[in-house]
Amino acid sequence: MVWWAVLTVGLTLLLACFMSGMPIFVAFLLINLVGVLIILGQPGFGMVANSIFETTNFADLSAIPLFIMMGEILFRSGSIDILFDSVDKLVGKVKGRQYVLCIALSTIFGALSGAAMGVAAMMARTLLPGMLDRGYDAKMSTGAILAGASLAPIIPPSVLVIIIGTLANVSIAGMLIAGILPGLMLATMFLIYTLGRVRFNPSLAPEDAATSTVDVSLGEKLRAILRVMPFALIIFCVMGLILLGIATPSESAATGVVGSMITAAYYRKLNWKMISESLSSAAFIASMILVIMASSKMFSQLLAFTGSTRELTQVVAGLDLSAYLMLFIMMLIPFILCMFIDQIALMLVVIPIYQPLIKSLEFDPIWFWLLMLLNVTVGGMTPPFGYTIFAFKGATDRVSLQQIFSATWPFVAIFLLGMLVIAAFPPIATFLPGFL
Amino acid sequence: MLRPFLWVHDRLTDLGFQLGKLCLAIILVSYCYEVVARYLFNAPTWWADEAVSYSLCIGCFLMMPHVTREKGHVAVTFLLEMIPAEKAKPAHWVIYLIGFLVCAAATWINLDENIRQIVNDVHMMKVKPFPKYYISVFITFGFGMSALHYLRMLDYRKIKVTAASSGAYE
Repeated sequence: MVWWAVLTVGLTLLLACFMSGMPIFVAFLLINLVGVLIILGQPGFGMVANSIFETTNFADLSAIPLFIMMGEILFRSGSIDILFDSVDKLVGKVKGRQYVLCIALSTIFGALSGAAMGVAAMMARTLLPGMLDRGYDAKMSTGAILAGASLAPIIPPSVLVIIIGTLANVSIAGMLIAGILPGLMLATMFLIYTLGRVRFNPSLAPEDAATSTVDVSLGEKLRAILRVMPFALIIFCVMGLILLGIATPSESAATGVVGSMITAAYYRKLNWKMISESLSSAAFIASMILVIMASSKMFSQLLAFTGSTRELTQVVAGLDLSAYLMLFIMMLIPFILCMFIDQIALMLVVIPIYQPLIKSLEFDPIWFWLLMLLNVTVGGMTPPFGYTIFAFKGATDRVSLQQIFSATWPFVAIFLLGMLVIAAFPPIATFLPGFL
Repeated sequence: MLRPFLWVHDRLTDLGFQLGKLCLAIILVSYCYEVVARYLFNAPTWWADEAVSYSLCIGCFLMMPHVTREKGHVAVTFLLEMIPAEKAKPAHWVIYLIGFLVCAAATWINLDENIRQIVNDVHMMKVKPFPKYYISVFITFGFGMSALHYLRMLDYRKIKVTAASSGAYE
């Protein structure tokens, strides 16, 4: 069979299996086992066993459960509530302050948690009811929370970065640090958009006359800053230790967990039950992700074995398209696919195909994969299928799915604008990793 | 008649779940010990990195049966959720059947590899070499136990499809 037929049939069958509703790891294994049987025959099954073993025996991936555990400890212990109260005091008196509070909290949570789902669910439970009770616009509030939560995978720590860095063989430390400036830039863009909308349409944010936190004295503000200082320890344990060259990303994930335990203990919220629950949750989610990664590994090996990726690279190189047009096409495909299939599954399919292409196009790997990270992150809040949307909806029944879907589009557009800016000005992504 | 086997299967799944948590705790302690030993005492360990990679693999597959039992595996279910509940039931049954067949095949493949590793005395090429099957046998355990969970889900009467679920099993 010619290479393009192998690629087309393989990808079509895989996507069909995903859409059928079967677990992603089952879909990957099914296609891989059938593929190995057809292409290599029964002796090739040993390669399947080895690919599973090699994937899960990779210490760098241990950052996945550790980053998840870090967030779990902070959320389950209730330490986050203190952060919430303090930031609320610091935001001050501005028109649409709940939107500002939402985006400011999201950005800080992004530096404390590696996954958007947890932040979206937490904000839907804690912040959204207050916003709606004060008469804030439901769609705008929903969009701001979902967009804010989507900063979590971009600002380190990030589970998605560990997966992309491992699969694409890019410096994980570099990728983690590269997310800081784009994350802050996107948060600023969300802020400008929401405050701009409120300025032209004041009904989106009624006055916060009933809120006691609006008039806060300077002393209270200083006390609020002091109360959140222990959270700086966690940020230092993760980003600080990587930047200082003291710990690898996986080690910094472990020190981050210790930092979150110390923070919870400082607020007298640390107990064994909470640690045990955090361990359970982190191990559960990590197993779910790692089993998918282990089951998918053989797919990329089969593509390489049939020569499909090599041939595709040669064909694309021969097309003589401009680099920016290629970048647009390479980003458009995952953007559309992410509306329907899981982000991790999509990356597992796309990365082995894209890896040789970005080499031949001479793209900076950190810049390119950071754009991909933004792309798949926005997939989490793009209707109709998005984990962040479902996590949000699961935590609140005050906003309909229809409202959520229409709420996300303006923020998806801002994300795309942000990607355009980073594509045009690569130093936004590559400046900080240059210091490593 | 099957009840004792199901009880043993469930208890093994529970045990795997608890040991999976322990593996994560080992990863955490190993890395923290390594950072402190290396940077404060200038005495890096030879075992931390290996303990982490083995614990990751072992923990992942010890936890897998529990994830399968709890229907925690990620799936794209929005098309399935559009089908009326009664019509979705056969679709769920087929998915469980495929899950069982695929996991059973993976179990057989990994078991075959375990036996090959034992017969050929294959060792891990690490600082302290030891038989590879010490670790790889947990992969067989994970897939084998998950295959049995999928097999148990094939009881058509017990498949319960709700509007919001992707085929909850009782």
